[in-house]
Amino acid sequence: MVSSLQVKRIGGLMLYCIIVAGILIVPFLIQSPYILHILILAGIYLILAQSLNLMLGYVGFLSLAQTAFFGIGAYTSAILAVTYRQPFWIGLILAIILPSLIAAVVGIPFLRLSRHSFVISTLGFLLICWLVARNWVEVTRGPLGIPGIPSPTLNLFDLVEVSFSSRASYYILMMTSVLIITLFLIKLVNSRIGRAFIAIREDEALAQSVGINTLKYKLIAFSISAGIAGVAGSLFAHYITFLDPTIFEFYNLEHVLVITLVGGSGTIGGPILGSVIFTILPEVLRVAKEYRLIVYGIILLSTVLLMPEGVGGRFKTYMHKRRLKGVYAK
Amino acid sequence: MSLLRTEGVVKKFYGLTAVDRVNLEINEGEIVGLIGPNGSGKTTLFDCITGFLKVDAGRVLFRDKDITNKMPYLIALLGISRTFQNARLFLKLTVEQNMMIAIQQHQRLSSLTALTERRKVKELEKEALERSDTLLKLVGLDRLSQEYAGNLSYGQRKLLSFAMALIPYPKLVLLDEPAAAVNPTMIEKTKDLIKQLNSKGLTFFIIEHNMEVIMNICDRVIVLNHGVKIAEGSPNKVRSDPKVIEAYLGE
Amino acid sequence: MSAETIFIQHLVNGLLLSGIYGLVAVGLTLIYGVLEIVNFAHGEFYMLGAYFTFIASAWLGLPYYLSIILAVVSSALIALLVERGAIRPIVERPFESKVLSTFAISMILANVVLLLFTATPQTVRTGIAGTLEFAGVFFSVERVVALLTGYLAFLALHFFLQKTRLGKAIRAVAQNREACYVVGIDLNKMARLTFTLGIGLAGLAGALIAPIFSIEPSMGQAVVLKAFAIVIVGGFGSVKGAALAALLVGLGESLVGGYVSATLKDGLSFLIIMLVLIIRPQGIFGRTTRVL
Repeated sequence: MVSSLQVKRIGGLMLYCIIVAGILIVPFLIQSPYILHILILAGIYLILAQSLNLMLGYVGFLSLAQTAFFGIGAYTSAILAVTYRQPFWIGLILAIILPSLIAAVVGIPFLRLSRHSFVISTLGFLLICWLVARNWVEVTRGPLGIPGIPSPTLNLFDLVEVSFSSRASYYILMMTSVLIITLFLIKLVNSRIGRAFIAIREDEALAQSVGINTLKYKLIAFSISAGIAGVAGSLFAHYITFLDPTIFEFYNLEHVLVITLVGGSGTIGGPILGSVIFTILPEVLRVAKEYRLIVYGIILLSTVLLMPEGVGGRFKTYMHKRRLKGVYAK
Repeated sequence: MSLLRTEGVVKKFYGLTAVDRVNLEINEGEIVGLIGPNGSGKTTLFDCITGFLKVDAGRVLFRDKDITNKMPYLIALLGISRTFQNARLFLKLTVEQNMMIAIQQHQRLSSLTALTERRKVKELEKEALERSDTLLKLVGLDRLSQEYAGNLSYGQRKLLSFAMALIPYPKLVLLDEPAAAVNPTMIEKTKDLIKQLNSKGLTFFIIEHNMEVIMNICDRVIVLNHGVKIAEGSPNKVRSDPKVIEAYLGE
Repeated sequence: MSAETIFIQHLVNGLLLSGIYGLVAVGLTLIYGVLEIVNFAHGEFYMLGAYFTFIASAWLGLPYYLSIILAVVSSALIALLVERGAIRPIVERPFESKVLSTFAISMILANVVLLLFTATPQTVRTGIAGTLEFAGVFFSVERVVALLTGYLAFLALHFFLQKTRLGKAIRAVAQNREACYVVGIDLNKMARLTFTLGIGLAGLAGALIAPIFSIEPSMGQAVVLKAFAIVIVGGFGSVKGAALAALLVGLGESLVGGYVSATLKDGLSFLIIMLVLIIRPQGIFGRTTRVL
């Protein structure tokens, strides 16, 4: 006998498989390198947006350091590949570990601060990273940047070698990473740890009074979010193949804030929605970068003023109300 | 046996002394009231005991163990629960989610296992739901478990925060104005609850302005004025104390 | 040049920087005190002040002193608009909303100016260029004018806050918002006034710096971090603290830049932020010592 719950579960699994297949089949249908390029960049920004979302949307702390971890991840990966000739996979792993560790270390003083001071200290941290990237010439080559970052290759026991040098193959690599991270985050925020995050977001004092070690959970969240930003950075460096200190510029930060906020922080779907919107929108608007940032600023301001929960958040509230109606109807 | 003891606790804000060398003792099984005019430092004293404020001098001892300036969550885990004056809750979450957040902190499970060991987590979640249901039934909110905490009436919010305060199997519960701005029926209910739990051995320390409640349930009353303890004793004795009358009239 | 002359020049430059940073930081700290907003767009108003000066002197051909007045008034007018449209609706919102709102304003302002004037640095000519000799040390007239005007503005502000009814009301709100409901101070009015005043000071700082350094759309970002550092060191909401910390940062930058290294000079304010936050981890913003 098949219960309705099982039907639901099987249905969900099938829907999920269809989505995955749909995403992965894109490069075989669309051969336009331009569209693939846009989608790959959208994937990178989505990962970065999710890392911001974890801090802002779930723990309630606005971290401006996410693009710093993005840059640290990118530099780690690039330096290992170019200077030390290490394979992509080692760079990727270190691009996760190093930002997480740095986040854990700087997080100890930062996360003891009030939310106000936290924002400013993360901004200060971002600018220090920028300064270091420009001035630590022996390692980062300073403003000259690091050219010739190789495309990733996957070497399976010296039998098969897969290279991700084409747009289509990089797209597959990108989307696989997006899927893994999305699934991980869904699991995380719905777990008991996620519940503690939300408690801190809603009322930190109350969270303490019910026995939550808020500093510990904030540190966990900050480290994980830094690791995720590091993944985005590594994938960015190996895709663009050139890296310079401009990665720390405000453009990335602003772009990611807009994606997260407009899509809706505090939901996993929000940033996904946001990155879809902001992948399509610039193509429709077709405007210069300067105009684009003005438009983004206006969109961000309107979102904060008129719809602080974002498009995704609004949808979630609507769904909950419907579900609640169902509960009472029974 | 003394459960909670403060020794010369001092708390200053900008040179203003909010709590001034307060010594007090609360014994196991008692219901102790804490009264005093507005701004006399009652909530500040609660904050000092529960670690929400760092004291400037003095010690706080719980079961003869020094808990001065420990982090609030540690104090909560040691067995001192509290409610807040304005019935703080996770307003955007449901009643049940509020309870679950609190309950899971008292189930031993490392953060890593929480992600990996599915079966163990499932078991604990089931336990937690049962406990949540029991406690919600106790305060009479079980039918509202799926409602958002933000949609509850003020009295219901106080009951929910009461229920949450009971979660860590506390030895001592600090209640900050449980009867303020609550309708008479709800006040009766709260009083009954406190008495019922007290008869099972739970100790209470209660800030309250409603004298009727204080007279009715407290074994002993402590009076603060300008951060100084000015009187202590049975409710009737304190009520007729000239110093107390003066403090209230001078308000 | 002798070592003493160089030292004196660094000192005077440091005092000039202190004055400029001080004007920006005092506005920031007042706005935080009264509105509980960390204004991320504050640096952009400083930048606007400089560009208004440029417009007034290069396009309209106004004399320098009129350009300054025009720059201050124009920035204050824009501040009024921004306060109405983007600050007042969110005053009661959580802190993050306020930050994001001012961040959005900063994005809009910086990029509008970038669009209109491009990223190419511009120079402002004042017609008062020249040098003054004082005890064997030469100073440019523009620097001396900026230095004196900046400190004069500071004195005026001090007088306004200490002696006038309005100024006292602003200080009262910054110290204790709750009490103001009781005393009957109109918080909305105070918020509008403080925001405009704070922005006006930033505009003035921009106008004073315009003829000394070249101006560019990103100049606001550089200065706002220094202002944050000053405000963190001085204690948020404290005017006196900000003034003293500005002196420290301005002189520190000038001397470190002159004798140690230019990189360290750029990084000095960030290092100060980090250091203060680590030494005083309970949070410099905190008005009480509440743990949470």
